Amino acid sequence: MKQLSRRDFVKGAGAALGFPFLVPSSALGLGGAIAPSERITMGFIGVGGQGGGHLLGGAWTYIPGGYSARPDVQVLAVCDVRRERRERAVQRVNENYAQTPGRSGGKPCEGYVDFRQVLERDDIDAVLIATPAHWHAIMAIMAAEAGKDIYCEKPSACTVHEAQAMAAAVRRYGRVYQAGTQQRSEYGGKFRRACEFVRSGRIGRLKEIYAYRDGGAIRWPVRFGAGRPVPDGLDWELYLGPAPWLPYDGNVGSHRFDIGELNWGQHHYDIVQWAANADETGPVELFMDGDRTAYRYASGVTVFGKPYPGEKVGGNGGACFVGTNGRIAVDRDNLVSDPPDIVREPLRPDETHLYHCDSHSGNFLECVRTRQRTICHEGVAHRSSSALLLGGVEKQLQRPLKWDPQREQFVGDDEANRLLSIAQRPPWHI
Amino acid sequence: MRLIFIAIIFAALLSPLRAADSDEEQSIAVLQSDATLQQKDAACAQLKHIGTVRSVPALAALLADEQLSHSARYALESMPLPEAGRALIGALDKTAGLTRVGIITSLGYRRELAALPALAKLVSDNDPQIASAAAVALGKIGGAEAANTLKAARAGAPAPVQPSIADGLLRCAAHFLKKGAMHSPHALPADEDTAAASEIYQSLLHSKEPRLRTAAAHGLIVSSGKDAAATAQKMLLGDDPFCRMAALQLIARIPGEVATKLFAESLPSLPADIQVAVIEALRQRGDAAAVPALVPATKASSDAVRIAALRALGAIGDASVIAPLAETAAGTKGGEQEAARDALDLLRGKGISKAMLAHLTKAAPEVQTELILSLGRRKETSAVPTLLKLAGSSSESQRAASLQSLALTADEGVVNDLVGLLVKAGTDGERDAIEKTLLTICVRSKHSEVCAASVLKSEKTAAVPVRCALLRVLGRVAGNESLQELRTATRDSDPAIQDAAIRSLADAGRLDAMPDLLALAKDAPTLPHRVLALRGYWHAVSLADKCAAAERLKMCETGLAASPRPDEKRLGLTELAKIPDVGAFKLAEPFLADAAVRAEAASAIVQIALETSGAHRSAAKAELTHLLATAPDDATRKAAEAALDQLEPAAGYITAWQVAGPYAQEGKNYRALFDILFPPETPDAAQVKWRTLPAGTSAGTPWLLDLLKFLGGQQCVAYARTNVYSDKPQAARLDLGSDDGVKVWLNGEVIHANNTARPLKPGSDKVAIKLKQGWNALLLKITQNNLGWEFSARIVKPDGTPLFGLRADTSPVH
Repeated sequence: MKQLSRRDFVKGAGAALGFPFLVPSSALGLGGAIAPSERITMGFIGVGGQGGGHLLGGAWTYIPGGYSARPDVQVLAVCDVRRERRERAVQRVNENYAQTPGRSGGKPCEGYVDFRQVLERDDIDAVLIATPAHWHAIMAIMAAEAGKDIYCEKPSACTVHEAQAMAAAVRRYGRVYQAGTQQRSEYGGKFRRACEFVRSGRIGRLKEIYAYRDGGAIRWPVRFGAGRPVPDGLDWELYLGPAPWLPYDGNVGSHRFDIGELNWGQHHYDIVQWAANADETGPVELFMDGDRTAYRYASGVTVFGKPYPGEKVGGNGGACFVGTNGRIAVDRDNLVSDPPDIVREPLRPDETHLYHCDSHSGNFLECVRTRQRTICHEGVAHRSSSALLLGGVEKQLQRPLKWDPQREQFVGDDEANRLLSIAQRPPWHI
Repeated sequence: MRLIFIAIIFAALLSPLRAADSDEEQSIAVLQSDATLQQKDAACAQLKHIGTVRSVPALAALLADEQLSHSARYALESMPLPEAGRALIGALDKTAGLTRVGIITSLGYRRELAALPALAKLVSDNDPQIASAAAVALGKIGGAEAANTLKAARAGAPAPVQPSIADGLLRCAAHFLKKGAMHSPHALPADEDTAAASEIYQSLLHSKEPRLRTAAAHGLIVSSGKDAAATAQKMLLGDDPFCRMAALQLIARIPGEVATKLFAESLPSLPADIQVAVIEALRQRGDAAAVPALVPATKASSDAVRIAALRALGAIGDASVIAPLAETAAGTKGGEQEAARDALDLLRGKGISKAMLAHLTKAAPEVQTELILSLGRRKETSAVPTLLKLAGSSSESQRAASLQSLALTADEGVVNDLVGLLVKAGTDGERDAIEKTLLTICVRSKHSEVCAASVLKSEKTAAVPVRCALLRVLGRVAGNESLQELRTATRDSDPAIQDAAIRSLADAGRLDAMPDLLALAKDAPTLPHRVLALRGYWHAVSLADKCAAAERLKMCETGLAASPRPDEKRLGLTELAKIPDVGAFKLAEPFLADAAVRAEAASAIVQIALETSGAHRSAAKAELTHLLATAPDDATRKAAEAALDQLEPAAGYITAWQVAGPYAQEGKNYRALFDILFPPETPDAAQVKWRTLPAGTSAGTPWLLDLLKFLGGQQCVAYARTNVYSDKPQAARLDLGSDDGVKVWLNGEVIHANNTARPLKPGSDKVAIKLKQGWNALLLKITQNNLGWEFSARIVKPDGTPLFGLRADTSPVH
């Protein structure tokens, strides 16, 4: 029986049992030639430093060459509200394809100012969202509604309610979601091994986790000030999106509405949650520890939003786990323990083995094919971002708070509950 | 008195309330005054935190104000008061366009039941934005009334509103299933109104839009309760690929053994590529009930299916899969063999090691070998007695595999038996393999006395080749007994024994053997043995880096005095150079007068000076100045000069780098390699392994990045990458030095290329650059002809003066 190509499948032309695109990339071999119809088609929304790195690679990124260098991906759209970035990215993608043997002559990559036009294209399977943070959850929700699979940069959400709504939308539409918290996959598996050792009891009973950075949140800015003319080549309106309208002031940063560690914190709390086996839950109480936020899980494990005193490992994105029989510290370059033997002995079969993948982008693309859950799926992202964002509420209120992780509400604190959401500028909503 | 006390307490209790009260009153007053927009916006932000029913009217008055409506919603949307909802409903008639859309969205967010009648009207509004917002808000509120309104509106709604109506319906269905339903892998929906949910999903299941069919199928499976598995199976085997997508996604999450069996049984009816996805989902389910269906899949015609099945069996298999896995491991190659071996190593649960051992007795020889190796990798200590028995077997492959596994699993308890095997071993090859295992076990053991006793028991009486092997093992067994025996053996009458003992001591690198090595260096009968002993001494010194500097200085002093030949003096000076202590200068200085080792002595002094320059700057400088003044030759003078230069502050140099390489190509020299694309420049870049380059080779020259030391090699290239953060866009200059050629990319663009061979001179190449605001990606390609291979890079202002405020990071915050 003739099998349909994946393109046929996506267009829904006829019925067939064939699902040729469901072959894992590991079986295809990434070096092998892949027919254009078997490639996952992608749109990139936001191509600044982070999105541009995903798309084109770069000296800093953990995916050198970027998605546009992957033989199993065809980038069809690039979207940015800044013309220079957009046009340069489109040009680079098309040049790369033209210069790569076997890749010329396909559909060209096109540039868009408005991401809704990318979502409208029915020939795009997946989007990568790397916009300013205040857009992340809304775009992920709209992408899910549009039937796209989603890779979204951290923070996955800027409020707890955004996190819930993002996860609900991904489930409502049956999509595949990967949060850009690549520490679960990348860096030689150091973070996974640290969490496996902790969950296997190698440091005894887990007592404390040092998350290096504390909570984060979002706030709308002071507005109604005097403005400047919007420069040619920038769509200010679409930059602002759900933020209240304010006159152009020259700031088009990715994190201009952040409070605290909104940008960087989810990386840390994602690993904290994994090690604490808390992917489906969250803190039960939050409090201030000096000038840093801290919280406690129902298990009694306390999480401090600061470095472990005197520990060098971890500053570069990491965590330190303290148990009754030892301590493990991990960051992107190091995995160490006290006593040192704890991390030297490889994991035994009877110890706890966690979701194992070595490539965060590869895991996303494979799950797009197999429809299985990614390592940082919507549920993980919902709870990891919440752990960070609840710290953000604590940071604003500076008083002990009780949290019900099942109902996802603060207990007996009205004001704290009001900070679980933020009103968005119409027509944007979650 | 008492009354006053009570009054104070009372006042203290009330004061926070009063403070909040007065804050609220003030904010309300601002809203009702002719304060500026900015002040009113700030008052709304304050009321989001503390607003009560008192502030609702003032906020409500702003809802229709286009400029301040968002500010008012900011406070009202999250206010847990019915009055806030009523205010929003009241504003619907007073607003239009996007302002009205905002009000509708807030009502939906609040799940404001009282808004249902108004929203029911608005869902048919002529403005598609209003109608769409109302549809979504109805979905957020949920319930039968909202669902019925949406169903009724669906038929006549114009195309632009249809997606929101579908979204509203899907949201209603999710509410019927209770919050999120199957978001937990273990929870099926509670007995809510699944019928109402199913009805909605059924109505969308045959939509023309594939995205809605996937969503509907997903929901239908979730809402099928105990029939979820059957519904999913039907869709899996059905002919709508978009429904099948939903089924595949849920296979891993529908609980129960019955479900596992249903999905597993479906495997043979599915094409290979879908089987792969289903097998992966079965693996994630972790339910051993899938095992009977997975075993035949290891024989499937598709490679991908076989590998997926092996992988899954490793995760969920029990003792029953040991035989097929071991047979596959023995009978295949490449990825399949690797998957089978990994699976064997991963098998969990009770009785795996027992079953492996049982199967060992009846399996074919090549299968036995796989099982033996896996027992070792699994560190099954219960297998040690069997492994020990097999280590003496007549089959060579079994012997080798067993020794390999014993090396991984056994402790000192087997040393006695292994020595016994060694005594009986028939060939050199056998002896070598046993010796290797013994060495590994003895090095790892924390009970060296047990190892020593077991070895010594047989050593004296064994045949010469066995004695030699045991002496080599003894070298690695800590403690006085082993040292005593080696010492005696160095004077043995049999030259082979004597040789083995001296070599063993020389190779061991043990501190306690250093006096013996010095003695042997002086009076061993042959020159080679004297040289060996002396080199062994220096080897031990090189491993003594944990000892205090004073102790190491003493070792060097004694050793240098006992080293008559230039070769060993050089080894001594090399060790001396590693001691960051100003006391080392005195030991090195006399050797400047010795022409044969002058260069090494000068280099040691330079190295010590640079290493100590942090703590003893003036002493280091004085030593280098003295060296410069008294330098017996040009080379020494230059070395001293260069070191003095390096003591100057290393401002602005970038020291945080990651490197990849070395890369080479047969027949191509450094000059040709300059323009050959290696993985970091190609689409294969994803596979590149980057490693952090140690920052500087010494404390004095943190800016000198030494690739030769880190990577080694000649006629090759390496890549170095980092990121530089600039808080604003600015022009700057990149001052480079490289040994040899260098090519530079800044933010992905080539900005400099110099294909040359030369020694490093910091700042020899000056490149005008433009830094953007934020992180700038810097990538260097550095070629290596021969000898030195290093580089330096610093960013300064365009005129060469220092540029402050930049920072470099190999993994910047993003």
